[in-house]
Amino acid sequence: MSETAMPEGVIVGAWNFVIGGYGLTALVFITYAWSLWRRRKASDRDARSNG
Amino acid sequence: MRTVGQIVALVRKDLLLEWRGRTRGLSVVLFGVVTLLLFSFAVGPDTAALQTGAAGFLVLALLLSSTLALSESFRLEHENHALEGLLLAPVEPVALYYGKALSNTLFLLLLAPILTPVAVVLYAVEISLLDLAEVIGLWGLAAAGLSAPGTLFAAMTSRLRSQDVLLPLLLFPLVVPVMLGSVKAIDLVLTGDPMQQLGSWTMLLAGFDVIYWSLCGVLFTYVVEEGV
Amino acid sequence: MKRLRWDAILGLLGVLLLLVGSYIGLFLAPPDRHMGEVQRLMYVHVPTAWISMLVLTAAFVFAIASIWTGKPKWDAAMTGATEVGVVFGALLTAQGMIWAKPTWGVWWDWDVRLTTTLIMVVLYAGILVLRSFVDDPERRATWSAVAVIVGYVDVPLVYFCVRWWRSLHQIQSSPETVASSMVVPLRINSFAILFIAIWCIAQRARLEMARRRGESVALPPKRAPRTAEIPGTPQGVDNV
Repeated sequence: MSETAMPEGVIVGAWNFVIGGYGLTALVFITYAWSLWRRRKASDRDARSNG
Repeated sequence: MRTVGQIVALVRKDLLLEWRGRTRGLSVVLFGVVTLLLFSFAVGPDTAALQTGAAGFLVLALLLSSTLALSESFRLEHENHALEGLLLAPVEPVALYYGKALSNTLFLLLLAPILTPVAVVLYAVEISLLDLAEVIGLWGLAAAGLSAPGTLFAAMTSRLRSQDVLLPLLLFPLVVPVMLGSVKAIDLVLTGDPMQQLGSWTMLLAGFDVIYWSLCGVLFTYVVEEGV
Repeated sequence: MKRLRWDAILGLLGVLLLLVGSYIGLFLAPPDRHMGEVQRLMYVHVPTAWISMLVLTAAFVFAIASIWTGKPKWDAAMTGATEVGVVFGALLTAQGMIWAKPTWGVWWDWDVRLTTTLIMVVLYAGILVLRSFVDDPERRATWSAVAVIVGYVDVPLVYFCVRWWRSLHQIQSSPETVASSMVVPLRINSFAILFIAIWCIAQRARLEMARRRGESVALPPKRAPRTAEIPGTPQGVDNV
């Protein structure tokens, strides 16, 4: 076997990185969706006050 | 043929204007020299480090000077609505683009015989006259690669409020291939080329030029149609 | 209660699929022989990469359609795809860094894909900035479409050049090295993120259309200044 085949658990704190990656993905999706919603509301408000 | 004639006339007009307003061109050259000087201060008086970075510093000086030159080239056209006059003449948009891109390339190429010797002296690089000619040739390829998208974007941004920020913001990430290619090629000339890679990097750079020049020429027509 | 639109259903489906796919990826799929648990990042990272590329390709197609037809709807779609591409690309870069730290030992490595993605994100973010500075809607549409087209053509050049520049580097994993038990969550998450991306693009495009209608109401119309004052005339209707 090559030396890259390491036994499980050699990477210290592997789960932290995994949780970080998934958490970040969720955070970005939620934040972006929220930003879209907020801009949508602002645009609707503008449309009402103008039109 | 008519288009070629128009391009030649436009380049001649631009070069004549450049010659009459020499101080403007001179200020860009001076800016390039100051940039080269600043890099040596940033790295420190370490000759070895300066030598390894010489090619990169040289191309960065070109890149930074180019934004000044590119936005200047369209600022003049907007004064007194010269651009509208040209389009009404009627000059074809394609001719306008290639004329402008060609004169920008020529102007940036003129920086090379001044900035390269300055860099050679400041960074203590030892090269022969033939190497110097090679560097200037590669600089020309890099200048062409910068001018093609640069002219296109300068045409757009030159009328906007914050053109000074927008042009580099759009242009710099776009010309990363040109920059990588020219830094690598110039570095091979300056520090030796044991693996004979210079030819392939030069071809790569030339290939980028061909792609940019054809693509941007086609797209420029649409930009001008909206009224630059 | 408003009726559910197609994209809302798609978005909800995407979120649901993402939960299912991530659950399988996190808890049911086996850990990788070489990388151990860290490899579970693949189930979000690789789909994000695929969908980011797809979204930017869509932006390129919309840009061509916009420049060709001049219709505002294509411009709106292009804006949506570009913005979603920037957001997903930034996320992709961050995920790549999180994966790089435990496997390569550094947060950043001048890896071909990582570097290309970063340059791409900066490039397209610049186009969004350009849009925000142009007031005339038609000019904004054409200019940003031109920038998107040039940018899209540039991305493979950047990739190729960085690859040459780095010359020595690992080759990306070919499909047969991925075990079949890993394919299922990968596939589910790919569709999930695709649906979420479509939802985001649709929302952003709607917003752009609404803003554009707002602009044509707020600004004095250029062509026929008096028609806006006739009572009963539908205002801001885009019949281009």
